[in-house]
Amino acid sequence: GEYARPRALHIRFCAVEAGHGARWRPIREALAAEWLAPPTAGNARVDLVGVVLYDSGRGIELSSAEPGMGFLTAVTQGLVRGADRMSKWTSKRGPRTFYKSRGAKRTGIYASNGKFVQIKEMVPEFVVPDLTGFKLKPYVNYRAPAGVDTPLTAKALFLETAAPAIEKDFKEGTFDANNLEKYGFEPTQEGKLFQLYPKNFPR
Amino acid sequence: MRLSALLALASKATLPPHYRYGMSRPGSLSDKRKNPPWSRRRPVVIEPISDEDWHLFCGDMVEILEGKDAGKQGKVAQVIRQRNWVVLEGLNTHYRYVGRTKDHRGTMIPSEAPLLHHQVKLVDPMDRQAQLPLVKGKPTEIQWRFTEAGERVRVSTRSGRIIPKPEFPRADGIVPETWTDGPKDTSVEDALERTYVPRLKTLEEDVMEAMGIQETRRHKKVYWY
Repeated sequence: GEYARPRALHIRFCAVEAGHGARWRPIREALAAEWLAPPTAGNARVDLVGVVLYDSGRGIELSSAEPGMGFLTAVTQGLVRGADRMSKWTSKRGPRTFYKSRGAKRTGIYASNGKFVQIKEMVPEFVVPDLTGFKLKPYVNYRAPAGVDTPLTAKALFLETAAPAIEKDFKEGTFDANNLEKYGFEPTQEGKLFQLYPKNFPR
Repeated sequence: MRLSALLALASKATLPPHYRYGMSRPGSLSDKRKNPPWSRRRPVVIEPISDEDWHLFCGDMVEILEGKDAGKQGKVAQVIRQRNWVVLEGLNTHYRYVGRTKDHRGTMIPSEAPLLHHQVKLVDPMDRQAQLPLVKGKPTEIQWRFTEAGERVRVSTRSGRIIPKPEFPRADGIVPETWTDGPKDTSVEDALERTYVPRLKTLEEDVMEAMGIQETRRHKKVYWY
């Protein structure tokens, strides 16, 4: 058949003044007023009711927003139809059969009979020391200067912990290269609770 | 653009791409009146000056080189880095009315106009003595140099004197020298005290030792490839 000429679909941006019948104001003026002084509850004279899609071909209004809707909601609703495809799909949406976790870790295992067995070691426990006599507080005095300490490096740690003992033994002549365990050397990480490599603690 | 994106934009105030910085703070009512979200003005040409090369700070004494108040010296009250502007207090002023109502024309006040960084020059500090009247310093070019202590300071090229960074009151009105500790404040001595003793133990082992936690169980050996 004949190709239908596309009808012009105009979007007429207007603002309706509440309480005075349907009086249309140019959108720029209304936006400026709304932007500078958002209407308060008592003395609002301009009430941006919504956006009206005006089809010039048929000469009728296609959609109209209800009062009480925000201007931006009306704009997006008028321009684009359909669901919000860009928002996150969370466990709060979808049918009631839809299950999605929010990322919490399991604290036990499912036994063979289907029951959930909680394991004490998988439940996180806060180890808090006794803070009586602790002098540090959440905030610091404004007069305190910036600290001069640099982050601790492996070399600095060695120089402060093992180096003095090694130096003392070397000077006395009792330094034994085969017996480094007494200075803190660990030949293997087997048998330790917190192994450094491969690291078996999450911090 | 969807509603979620619009809401995200509304929460964090981003400025439009060619936003023109003015004397008003972005986000204030006067700025909103001057630069509504749909305004698209021609972008101004701003000379790019890096943070290291910028040498004018609030509280500095500078002399104006050109303009209505050329030759006068004044203190820098505000620095607007985005436009390379310097606002001196009481100088380069025009007059305007504030507090206008329907019947009352308002009070006339002098309002300072900004000056570009090349329209002012830092003043060489002169020794000031209590008996003699204040001697006016001379404007000079500045170089950034390092002292023997390693501090980066401004040095006047003409006389070689160091121009220290001036004291300027904080915007929140707090004077650090007269600050009294509240119940949640750590005092200066407690904050600077060094109590850390480096040991060859991980944090977890140290905490276990301190709390007296005994753990004899070990992890099962696990292999991966």
